[in-house]
Amino acid sequence: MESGTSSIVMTLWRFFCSLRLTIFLLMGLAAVSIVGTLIPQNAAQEVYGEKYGETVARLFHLLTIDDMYHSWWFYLLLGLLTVNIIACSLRRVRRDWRMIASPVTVLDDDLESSLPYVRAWAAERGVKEVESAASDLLRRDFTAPRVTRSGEEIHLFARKQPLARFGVHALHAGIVVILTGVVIGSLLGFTKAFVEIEEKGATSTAASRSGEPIDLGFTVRCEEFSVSYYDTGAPKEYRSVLSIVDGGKTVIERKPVLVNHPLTYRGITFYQSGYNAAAFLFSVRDRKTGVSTRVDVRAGEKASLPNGDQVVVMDSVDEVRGHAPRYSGPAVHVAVLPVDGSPESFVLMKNHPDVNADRGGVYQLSYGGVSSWNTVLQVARDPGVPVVWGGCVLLVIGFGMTFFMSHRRIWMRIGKERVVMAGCSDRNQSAFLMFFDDVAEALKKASSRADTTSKP
Amino acid sequence: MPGTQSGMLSVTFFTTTTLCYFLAMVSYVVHLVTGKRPVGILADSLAFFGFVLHTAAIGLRWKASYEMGYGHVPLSNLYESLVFFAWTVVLLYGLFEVRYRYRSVGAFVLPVAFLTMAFAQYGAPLVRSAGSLMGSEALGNFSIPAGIQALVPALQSDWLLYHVVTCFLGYAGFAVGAAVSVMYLVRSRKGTRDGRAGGADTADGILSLSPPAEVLDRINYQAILIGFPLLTLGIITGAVWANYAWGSYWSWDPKETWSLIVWFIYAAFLHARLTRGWAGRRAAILSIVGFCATVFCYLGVNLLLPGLHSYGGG
Repeated sequence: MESGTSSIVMTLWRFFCSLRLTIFLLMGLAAVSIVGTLIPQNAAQEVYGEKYGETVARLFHLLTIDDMYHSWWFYLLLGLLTVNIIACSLRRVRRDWRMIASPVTVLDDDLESSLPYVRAWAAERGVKEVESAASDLLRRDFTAPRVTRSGEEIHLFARKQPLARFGVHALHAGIVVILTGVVIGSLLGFTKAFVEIEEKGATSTAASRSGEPIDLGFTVRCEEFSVSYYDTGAPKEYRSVLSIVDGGKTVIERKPVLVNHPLTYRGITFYQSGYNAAAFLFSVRDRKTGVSTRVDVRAGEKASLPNGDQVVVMDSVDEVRGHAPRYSGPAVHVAVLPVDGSPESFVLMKNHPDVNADRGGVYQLSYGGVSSWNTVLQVARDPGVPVVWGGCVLLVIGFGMTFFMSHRRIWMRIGKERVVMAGCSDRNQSAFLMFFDDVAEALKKASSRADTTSKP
Repeated sequence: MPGTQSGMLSVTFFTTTTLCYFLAMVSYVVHLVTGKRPVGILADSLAFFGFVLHTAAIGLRWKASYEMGYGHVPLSNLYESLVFFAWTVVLLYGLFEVRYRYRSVGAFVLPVAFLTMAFAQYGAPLVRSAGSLMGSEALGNFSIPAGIQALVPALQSDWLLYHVVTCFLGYAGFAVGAAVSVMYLVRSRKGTRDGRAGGADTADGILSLSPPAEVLDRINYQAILIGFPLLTLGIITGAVWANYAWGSYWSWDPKETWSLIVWFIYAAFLHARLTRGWAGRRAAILSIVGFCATVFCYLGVNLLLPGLHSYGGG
């Protein structure tokens, strides 16, 4: 019975340790990810019905293909990959640790036949002499060797950068840490919520993506908002000046928040995302008396003029050039609803007050620009972010270690008659081989008779 | 057109660079076919001269952007990114040539650089006519403006530099890998036609100067070994930036998703390499598939799928 369970465990272990599984999962993730970029994600159910027919749409919904990156089967693939990485790493870490903690320092025949680079030559000097020459050379050009005596023979072992073996473990650990951070964020945080605050206004609740209110636990206030443009009319900068009031105290005062410059307080981050006009300023001149008054028209609301006529802003743009190339600057599309008479609608431009100056009935309207803005800020809290960054750092360090380091080992067996030198490197073979041959050549010289150099 | 004198000069330099790469490409092919050494040296000189001009042109464009009062790295739109991509490909090719000493590989790599430069300068009408044939409005209105433009707020960040540079160096690694893989396949097909298996060291005549198949296989692996960590860095810097700008380090935007798809493919390539039977021909094919995905990630996503990245939007 027990052997039955243990054999199942062993089968599972082998399954999760297999490199084939890794390749299958990576290719599988690539393939299904493509599907998600071809079929629109998170669209309304009707969109799928229209595009693919009712049956297919229902199937999509059933298999969560309409939100596939958050579907159970996508998570399953990622989960399997994680288990696969952990299993492979555990197996290799044990082996690598043993290799580093207790290296084989004696070059026997088995080891010799398993190594890629082996050089051998006849010893013409005493074992002791060769050993001290070799040790000196290795100490100078490589690292100090460990010396082991076994019978008549002396074995030398020298190695460099054994930690290079752990680069690949660091980067695999990095991936697991990143995925952990993703899970933490999706369980404990929220993203893509937003607040819309008018200048001089404040709020303590954000709206989630699905429209539910989220209590921030403090109050965020928009002191002012401004938008500036390049000469071409393209937007240059959106700037909200925010203050945060927590427990009756102003904890953050007048902090500018721009695109790429968010504000974080108590783990909640505000990102400049968009803006819209809250109110428009008009100067209204009575054509008969010539008296001008200032009227503020709030977006989406009707405003009354002195005689009871009403005016409403139907549309507005910050830069009219895209619609009417001959003009520039802010513009509004207004409708005037007179007490008696039929309503009329027309366009007014801030920089071109003469255009449509004759429209509007009793009053001549001129547009003075937006008098108050709403700033739109994205709100997110993601406690997984530091974990994700930690994983990324680990990943980069791991890549650096595997890329810039290599575990190089050299063995020597010095006998009475023969000297054998062997070595290997876990990467950058050609550079290592060149170095290895240089050392072998120098050792060969050092272990041959001293008088060979002084021959006439 | 970029308004200042440096801007104008940079355009002239880019045009000359394209010509140099074209001539270098032709010379490399002639060198590969005839085996004449002087032609190889001529090809190297042309490529090197082109690269120097190319570097100067990018520098001048950078300077011009300051003169115009924008002051940003020339990596902000499709034109600039194509030019930079071609630059990284030639740079990486140069490093490989110095290391492996096989000039003939240039016959397959330089076309990538030349076609990229030519596409940046003359490719838009081609895409437009393809678009009108396909009835696609997005492709029909396609253009690659060469002017220096102001940065929209989302791009005003130092991360632009880190993100784009790492991504494109990664892409360059994959481009060199794919080009060498094509050479491998051409070579091994020649080998089999001659009735010998594998094509290792069998090709003679037309590809007389081609490096041995194992060397091509190794260059392919090395190039991807360089490209993969850089793509990883590119994805990470992109995530950091997205977290600053959009409030989320990952949103499954098509560009993000495709970069991850490319990452999956090359991760599979590197792991497949550790198992038996995935060197040589199959590795070459996978490398080419990976580069096709890279090109789609770079151009296809912007042309055919909606998303947040500005390249290719025109």
